[in-house]
Amino acid sequence: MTPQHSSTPNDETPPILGSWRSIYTFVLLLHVVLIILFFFFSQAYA
Amino acid sequence: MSTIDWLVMTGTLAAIVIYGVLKTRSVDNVKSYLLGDRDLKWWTIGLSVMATQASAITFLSTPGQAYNSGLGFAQFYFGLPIAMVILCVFVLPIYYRLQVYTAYEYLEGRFDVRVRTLTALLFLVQRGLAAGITIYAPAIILSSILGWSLGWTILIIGVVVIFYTVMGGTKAVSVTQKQQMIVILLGMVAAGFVVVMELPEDVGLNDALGVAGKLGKLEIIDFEFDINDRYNLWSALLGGTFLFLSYFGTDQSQVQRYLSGKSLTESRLGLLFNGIFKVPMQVMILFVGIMVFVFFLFTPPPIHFNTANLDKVRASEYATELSVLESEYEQANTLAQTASTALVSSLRTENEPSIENAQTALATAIEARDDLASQVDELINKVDPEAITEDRDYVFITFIINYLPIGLVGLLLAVIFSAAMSSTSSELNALATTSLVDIYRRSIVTGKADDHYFTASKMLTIMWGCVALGFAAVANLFDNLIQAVNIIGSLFYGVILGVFAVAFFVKHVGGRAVLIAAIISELFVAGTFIATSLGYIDLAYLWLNLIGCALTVLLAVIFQGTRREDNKEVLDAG
Repeated sequence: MTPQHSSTPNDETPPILGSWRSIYTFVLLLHVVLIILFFFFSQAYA
Repeated sequence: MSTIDWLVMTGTLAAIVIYGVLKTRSVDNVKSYLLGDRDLKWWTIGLSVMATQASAITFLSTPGQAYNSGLGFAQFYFGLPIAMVILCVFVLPIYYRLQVYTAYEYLEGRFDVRVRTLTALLFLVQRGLAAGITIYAPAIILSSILGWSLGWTILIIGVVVIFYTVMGGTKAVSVTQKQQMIVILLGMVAAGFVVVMELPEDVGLNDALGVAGKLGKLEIIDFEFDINDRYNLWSALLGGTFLFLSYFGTDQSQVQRYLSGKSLTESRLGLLFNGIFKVPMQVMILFVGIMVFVFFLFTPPPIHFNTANLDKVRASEYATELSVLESEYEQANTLAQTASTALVSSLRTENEPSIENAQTALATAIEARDDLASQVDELINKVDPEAITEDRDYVFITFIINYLPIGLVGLLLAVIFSAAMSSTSSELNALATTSLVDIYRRSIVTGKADDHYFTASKMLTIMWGCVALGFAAVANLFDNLIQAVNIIGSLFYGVILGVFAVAFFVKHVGGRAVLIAAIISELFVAGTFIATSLGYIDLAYLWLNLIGCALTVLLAVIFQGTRREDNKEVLDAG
């Protein structure tokens, strides 16, 4: 295995939303919204 | 197939392969060959990750799955976005910090070389078997429907993939996958658009959705907890998350895609891109299948979609019985068509009693159709007891060949070939990388120059390509190919994930404890699978992922504790 980098890659900031925590929250919330939309879509045509 | 379709198909595929080879001419060392100079942007990683997972069978089988069972299969992917986030938080930073070539390389630093070798071997066995099926599955369907030679179809897919993967390594895989994924998405959108256009003039998209909804085809979410059911919300969120954590976090064919990223940020964004768009993409593919189902309510479908099976019956003593069933099937189709038209009219007027009557009439007609199709299945099995009567995978290709306009048929066939080549190339590339880095360079031939390992990488890619082709040649021994791939995955993924879970989260456990735990857990998972196959227990195979992972972690912790006690006793006695 090659030597470790001196700087920790966790320091990188994402290009949008300010922090990785915000991006992860956005992805998970979007997924929940999608599941809810699927539910209502199914109900609308049931 | 028309000349234009041939030109569109071969032109699209040749353009992608030539582009891939030209873009990777400068690859001349092991690092570049196996990690692609680590210069890929997030959209290339995202598309590459999606293309690796989406094999040809995804595009052939998924619409057929919706045709038979509706949109519920989409739930299978609900654990994927959660897995993507977990990997971005815990796993990617470690891989990047250690600058590893493979996921298993990390395990040597954390445990020892034995654990690294064991997990690498588990990966090589399961992925080596799956690579053959990835080539065989689309080849059998295409050859059956288009009348092509099965052997030649397998050989052409295999040789083209081996060619560009050997030439450009991981970079060739990623850059071709980006183009392949664009072709795939364009083709599926075009197919979805055309199938709606092909519905009768007075039937629109909303009418089609109304009919599908009344037949229960649009129910995506199933809240009922059932341990035997693969497709409900809970098994997807629990079992599915474990499966995807294991697949994306520890399967080298995926790990290699995001390790080629320019930075940790690009790799994270690539995985999150997959987390956001994978579920909608699968729903879109399933939606195309639903539209094909509605299309075949207004247009008579064949009584059995695999024409090769029907030809066998027509050439046998049961030909007359088949003709009788086909006549009855024609009548059932007329009833289905009339009931569908009535249902559309009733839905427009929102007349509840009328809707209910039309719905019942349509359900009865479909039941009659299904019953007649089952009788044909029995005839097929009388003629050939070994024949596979499940024709779900042939539904979409039948629609493509018979109802899509000239030019689009060629594009959709390019979609299927692209998908076959993209997932196979990732597999070959990952198999070669793991064989070289974790086995050959680590334990067999150490300390040689870069040129030696560069040549060895190419040789190993060719070798694994030949193994995949060889396995594809005998894959007809397996009854259900998709199930075979998924079961092979579930047999190994859980234990591999368990080893990685211990590595990441249970810091006090050492190599010896996790090695013994992994071996025992793998035997237990295999035993559970055998018990399920023999009917002693009833368990959906997705749960094997959870069992394998949980048992490995639990046993590793117990063994480590026991070892400490032993050491303590020895010290006390001393």
